[in-house]
Amino acid sequence: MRVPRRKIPSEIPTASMADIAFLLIIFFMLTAAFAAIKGLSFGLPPEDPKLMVHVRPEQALYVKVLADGQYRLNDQPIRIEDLGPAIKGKIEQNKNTPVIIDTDPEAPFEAMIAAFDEAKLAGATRISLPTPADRLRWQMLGGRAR
Amino acid sequence: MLRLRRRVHRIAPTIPTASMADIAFLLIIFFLVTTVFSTDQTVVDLPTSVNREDVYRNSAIITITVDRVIKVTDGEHSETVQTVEHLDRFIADVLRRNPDRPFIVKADRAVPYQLVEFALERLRLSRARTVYFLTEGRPPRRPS
Repeated sequence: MRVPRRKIPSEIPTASMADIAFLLIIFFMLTAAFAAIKGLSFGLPPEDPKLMVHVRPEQALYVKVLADGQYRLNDQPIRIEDLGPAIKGKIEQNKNTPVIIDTDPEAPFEAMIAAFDEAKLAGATRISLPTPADRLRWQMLGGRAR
Repeated sequence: MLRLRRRVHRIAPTIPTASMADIAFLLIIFFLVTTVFSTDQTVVDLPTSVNREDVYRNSAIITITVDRVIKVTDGEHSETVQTVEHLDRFIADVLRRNPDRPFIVKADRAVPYQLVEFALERLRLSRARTVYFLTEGRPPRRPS
C-alpha cells in the first residue's frame, strides 16, 4: 500500500522583511540630518595682484560696523533697518557700486552678517570685506584711516 | 426533487502585506539619497539672514564657537585648530584635493569678528575661492 506523502510547498519566509526594513528606516531617520543647510555666499578676492581690483573707500559705499554693533554709512550713523534702502538707492544709480563692509574686530559676527545681508538684498554684487592688510594698504595710500 | 448542496468557497480574510517590504525599502532609498551624515556636531547659535543660498554639500567646515575655539572638518574627520599653521595645513589639504571646494564658516553670532576675519584671511592667502557664512533664516526688516 502506498502512503500518500504530504508535500510542503517550498517558500522563503518574508514576513519579517517589512519589520527589518522599517527598523532600518527608523535608524536612518534618527542618525541622519536633512541637508538643509543654507547661508550667505562670499567670493574671496584673488591673491594675485594682477587680478586684484583696488577700490578706495571714497569710490564705494563704505559701511562701518562699530564694536558695539552700530553702523555708519559713509561716516553717517545709520540704523540697520535703513541700511538696505540707502544701499539700494545708490545701487540703482550705478549697479557696479562696490560696497565695503569694514567691521571692527571686536564687533559681534552677527552685526557684520546683518550688514552683509542688507547689502545683498539691496542688489549689491561687489561686496568687499576688508582684512587688516587692506586697511593698512589704504592708510599707506593716504585713504581714510579708521 | 434533488437537493443540491451549495458549495461555498470561503476565502480567508487577509491583508496583503507582500508589497510592504518594497514600500519600506523605497523609503530607505529615499532617506539614503536625501540625507547626509552630519560630520560636524558642534552646536552654535547662528546669525540670521533673509538672503540664504543652498550650501554646497561637500564643503569643508570651519566652526568658531562662542568660547573662541576653532574646529575644522573636511567631511571625514574633525579636529580642533591649535595654531595658525594647523589651520593653513587643513585648508591646503582640502584645496590640494579639490581647488574649487567651498568652505563653510559656521560661527556663533556672538563671536568677535576678528576670529572670522582671521579665518577669511587664512582662506584668502591659501587661494580658496568661495566661502559660505552659515545662517538661520529670518523675515525681512521693515525700514523705519
